[in-house]
Amino acid sequence: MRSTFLQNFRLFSQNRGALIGLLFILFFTLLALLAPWLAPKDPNTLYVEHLREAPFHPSFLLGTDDLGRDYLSRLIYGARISLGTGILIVLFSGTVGTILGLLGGFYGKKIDWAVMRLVDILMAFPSILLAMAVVSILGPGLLNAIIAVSIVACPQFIKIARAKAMIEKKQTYIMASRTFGASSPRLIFKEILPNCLGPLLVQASLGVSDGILNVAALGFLGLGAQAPTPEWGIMLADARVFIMSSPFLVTLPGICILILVLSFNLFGDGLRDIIDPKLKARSS
Amino acid sequence: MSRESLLLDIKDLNIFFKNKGHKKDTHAIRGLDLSLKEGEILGIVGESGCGKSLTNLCIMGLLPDQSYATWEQFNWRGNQYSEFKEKTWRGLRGSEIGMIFQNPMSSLNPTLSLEYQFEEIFKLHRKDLSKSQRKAEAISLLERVGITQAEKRLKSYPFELSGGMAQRVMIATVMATSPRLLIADEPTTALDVTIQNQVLDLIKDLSQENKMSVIFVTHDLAVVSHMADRINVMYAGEIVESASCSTLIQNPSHPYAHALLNSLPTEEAIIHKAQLKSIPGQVPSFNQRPEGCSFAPRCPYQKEDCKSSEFEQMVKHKKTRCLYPLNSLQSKAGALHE
Repeated sequence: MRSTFLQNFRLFSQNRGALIGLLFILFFTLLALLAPWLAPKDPNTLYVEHLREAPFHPSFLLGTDDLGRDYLSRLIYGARISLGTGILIVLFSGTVGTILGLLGGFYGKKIDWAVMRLVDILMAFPSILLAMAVVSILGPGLLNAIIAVSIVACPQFIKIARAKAMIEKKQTYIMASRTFGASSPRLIFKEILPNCLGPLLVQASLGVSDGILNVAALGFLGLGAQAPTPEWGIMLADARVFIMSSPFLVTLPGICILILVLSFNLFGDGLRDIIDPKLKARSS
Repeated sequence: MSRESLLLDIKDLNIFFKNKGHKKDTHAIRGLDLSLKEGEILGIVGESGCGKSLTNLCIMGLLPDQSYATWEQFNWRGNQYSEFKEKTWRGLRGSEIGMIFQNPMSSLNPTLSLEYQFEEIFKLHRKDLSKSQRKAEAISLLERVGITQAEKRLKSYPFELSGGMAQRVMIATVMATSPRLLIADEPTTALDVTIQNQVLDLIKDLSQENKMSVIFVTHDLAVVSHMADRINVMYAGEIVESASCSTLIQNPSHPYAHALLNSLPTEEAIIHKAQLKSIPGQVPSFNQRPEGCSFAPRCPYQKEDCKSSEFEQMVKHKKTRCLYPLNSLQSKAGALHE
């Protein structure tokens, strides 16, 4: 088991992009976890004498925003929120989507029909529009934004889990488990689910990046987290007025979002590369 | 044969496939009788598409969605079952009837360790065992089927096993519930010849040790003659001949059984690189069966009345579904010579 893990890691690290992605993810995770210790100042304290201080100021490394808050501290705390929301979204949408997809793919017929129509409905709208619609029903706020984005993210998981379940349920080992008297829930969650985990994990890592992006977009539109939460989307929105006078205010949170989203995408691609050939080798 | 000693007794089993629209359902298995004594090994032989696997799935209660079965009598260990009920059959599966499959590599879950797969079975069927007992039991089962370093093997995954080893593990998992009946659906077809014999001997030994009956499905008469006490020859959803192993091998009476035996490669044929004999034509599909005897179109001894519509009536009470069984032909030929 350990040797296969090492082999996988070697395969993974051959993909330079994926490795860089992983490093950045680790970096941001550390920032998020250690925010209270790493951040030089409190993110919400107003230093009224220092409004829109430029970066490399002796006491504010990345300057201050229009209300005089330390920008570096806000960015560090922002990593907490972005990563947290991204992971929560994947947990919610991944769990719900996987269960629905497995049920649809395994039972087929009416259940599958119902699940697939749900997917059709969700996919018919552009994701950010649908998320906005959901938020406008639930009311703005970070938690509601997470729920909205989770709903939007479900179809991807449903489709992957369903397709995989439809293939796996025809395999002999499922028939063999049936001959041992296994019940359908047992077949679905103990036999089929472990065989679907590979592609679902890939989707999960890509889902984190989508989630971060969508929550930031909602924040930017004023529908997600509310001020004064140090959220990158809101920081972007607040700073866009000053794009001419203090361009760094817009640039820095934008770059953070870009790097984090890109890292998860690269990491997901790398994961896919090691999982796909393995699955082929095992099933043949 | 007294009724009590019978493990399984099925009379007049019919399996149908539902067709879309208003077409008549396809009659796949027709009027099949099957009986099995305790500890008996029954071979079922026939070409692909004869309905061997379908019959097995029916006994397991795992028929495909679009099919259904009817029977006059289904008697399992003295209990009569008048119709199929998922609940009753789930009680039978695993604990009373076990099954092994043609491709051992794909009948174990590729992502779960052997230990986990044994655990699952024990949790379902042996609730009385503690965790350490379960592990000990799994190890002793693996040792019983001839797997060395069983304790280490428990930690491995199916893709780390060879085909023969995987089939042994499969047999071990089935034996974990000590079933009364083992259905072996071409268990050695995917294995090479040396491994094949070991697995066959293993099944035979286990059957004798535990007084476990075996239904052994294969298309290879050589294999089944090595194993079985009795052989049913199936053709196009019917049992055309049922006889003891030695009778069937030495003196087959149905032309199809005879043709199957003839298509085995003989030593002579191998030495002289002669062309192997085969049966011309192929098994008719379930919805295109000819009238009268299903085998008639391929039968070298066919006569006019083989294709008559009264064929069913004429063979109804015969042991062999044939109007002109070979034994009688041969004895007639012998009479002519004299």
